[in-house]
Amino acid sequence: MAFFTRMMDLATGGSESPVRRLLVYYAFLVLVTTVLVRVFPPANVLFAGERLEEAIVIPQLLNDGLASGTPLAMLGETDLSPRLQSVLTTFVVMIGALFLMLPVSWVYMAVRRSTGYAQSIVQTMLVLPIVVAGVVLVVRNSLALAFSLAAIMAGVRFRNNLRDPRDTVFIFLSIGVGLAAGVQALTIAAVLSLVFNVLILTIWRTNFGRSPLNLAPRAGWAEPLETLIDTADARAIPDRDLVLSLTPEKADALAERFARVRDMLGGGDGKSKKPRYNGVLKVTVSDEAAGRAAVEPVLKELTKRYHLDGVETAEGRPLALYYLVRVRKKAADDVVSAILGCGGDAIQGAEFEIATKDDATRP
Amino acid sequence: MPPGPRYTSFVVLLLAAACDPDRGAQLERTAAEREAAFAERTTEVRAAGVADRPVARWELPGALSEVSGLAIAPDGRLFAHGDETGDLFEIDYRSGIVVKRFSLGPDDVTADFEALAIRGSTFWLLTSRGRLYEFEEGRNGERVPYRTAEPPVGEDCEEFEGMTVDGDALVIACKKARKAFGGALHLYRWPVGSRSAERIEVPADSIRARMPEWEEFSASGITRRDDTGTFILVAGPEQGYLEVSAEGRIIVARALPADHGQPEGVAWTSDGMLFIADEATGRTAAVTIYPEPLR
Repeated sequence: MAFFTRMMDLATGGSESPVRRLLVYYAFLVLVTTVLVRVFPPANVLFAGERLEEAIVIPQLLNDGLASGTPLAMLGETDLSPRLQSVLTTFVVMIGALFLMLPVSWVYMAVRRSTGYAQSIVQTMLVLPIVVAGVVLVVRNSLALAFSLAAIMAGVRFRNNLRDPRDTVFIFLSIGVGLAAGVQALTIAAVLSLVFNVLILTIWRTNFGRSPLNLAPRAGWAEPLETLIDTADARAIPDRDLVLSLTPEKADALAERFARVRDMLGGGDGKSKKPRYNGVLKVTVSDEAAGRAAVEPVLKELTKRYHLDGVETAEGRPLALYYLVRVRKKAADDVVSAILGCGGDAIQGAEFEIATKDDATRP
Repeated sequence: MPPGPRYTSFVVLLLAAACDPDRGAQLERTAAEREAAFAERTTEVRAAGVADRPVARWELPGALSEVSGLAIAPDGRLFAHGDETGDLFEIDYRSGIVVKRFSLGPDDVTADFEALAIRGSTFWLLTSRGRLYEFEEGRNGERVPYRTAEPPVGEDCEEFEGMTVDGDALVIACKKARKAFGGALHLYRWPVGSRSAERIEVPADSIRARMPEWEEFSASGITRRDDTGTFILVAGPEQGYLEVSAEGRIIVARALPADHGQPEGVAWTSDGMLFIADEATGRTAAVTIYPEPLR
């Protein structure tokens, strides 16, 4: 390995650029392949993808069933015995799949080292294409063997849920490289591996597709807010974008407002037996005076007490009146309908949130 | 990343490894070698006088794994078709090269195609239910228009699997006649376009007299020998070979050589070559070529 690293350093002039090192590696593979084909021309069939062509299109040249009495020769025209051809083909295909997946495993280790790294994925990536290539070599163009394989796979029933979709992509690539190698299209497998690696590295280096709200300067602030959007917590805030869009100033203002509301509601300090208010009513109105005139008589009737906590105005949006109310739980359901029914064109909508013991019930 | 000279040379190297400009010439060389070998083997087998020895066996690709019919065009070219789609393939039988493929169109045509016959430039495909598709030969990759017809062969036959040309008529072989006929082999000679077809019957007794192990002869392919005017038939279930006169008299009845798994088509050329196509059942589908009709 140290020798390999030294050679790589030599070839790249000591560059640490992963793309450059990868390109050197692939160039080395091309060089080896070219030498192999020049020295042993029949091996070209392992790289040219002719077997793939035979599988998907009608081959022009039909196999001579009298000449050998054996299945299609795996290598090109050669004096080697069919058995030796079979061994050599299988060996080259498997080694080829391994060499093409090695750089993919390096890329995986690089891009996933900070989060979600799994050694099992790395090992699977190296072994899976070899297995797939072997299976494809066995199945070849036989429909009967393909069905048999499907039946065997159904019997094995291995299943594994990958935690991250990006891991799935690496596994898919492993299968793709294995398939290409198995149909003796190592050139396709090489291009697949190369393009995949360059793409993944580019995405990783540019952090492509990051959330536009999770900008770098705010990243440090957004991280603690992430806990507010935990979907497993019933008290969490469901709007992720809303939470992550908060600047420190806005979050502070919000915290102050929450504190004031808690003080008004009471009971938050653990000392008072009964909170003074147990609900928040938001009424959207077209006009503040007309809205209050319509809403407050209803509140007088349905609540023990109420308090206009705030009036929210925002350009382009309706006016919102926020009332803190103390209401009997049985009457809670009637509040919104009563407000909406109290009438007038001034009332545009009403939302009511009541605090319960677990503070999670919405009427 | 700017494409510097190092990267350009890398891409060129990669493309060079993938390209194979010599492939067309290699195909031509292989074809020439195979044709020479075919001629040599034909001469050798004919000289030896062993009719059962094939001179070539071309294994068929996946699209012809269910090869159902063979026919020889008047100019000696071999055509084959599959079982389910209206696709026809021309095969150079001397070199084992698929020369062209054309299809019924304009949309894909699927039916249970069982037989092919050619007269002049007119082709007919026959389905197992006795429906004819008539069309002209197409170029490679072309889709050709077609029209259909129902030959007046009556209700006596439940399934058709063979068809050949006899002058102006089509001779259609029945694979499975109604039980009332007790296993007799029925051939229907239909002058194309006429309102009636003549039935040629080969009695079951005469078949069993020659081959007692056959309950019946389930014809899966038929061709006509122009030199004698007789019909050669093959049967898949019985793996049998039959040569009958135009009147239905049996001339040759025998089992096929062992290498035939499921014969589905048969054809004969004017220079005496016999072709038998086998569907892929446990082995690769193939066209086997004999130097002369079996005896």
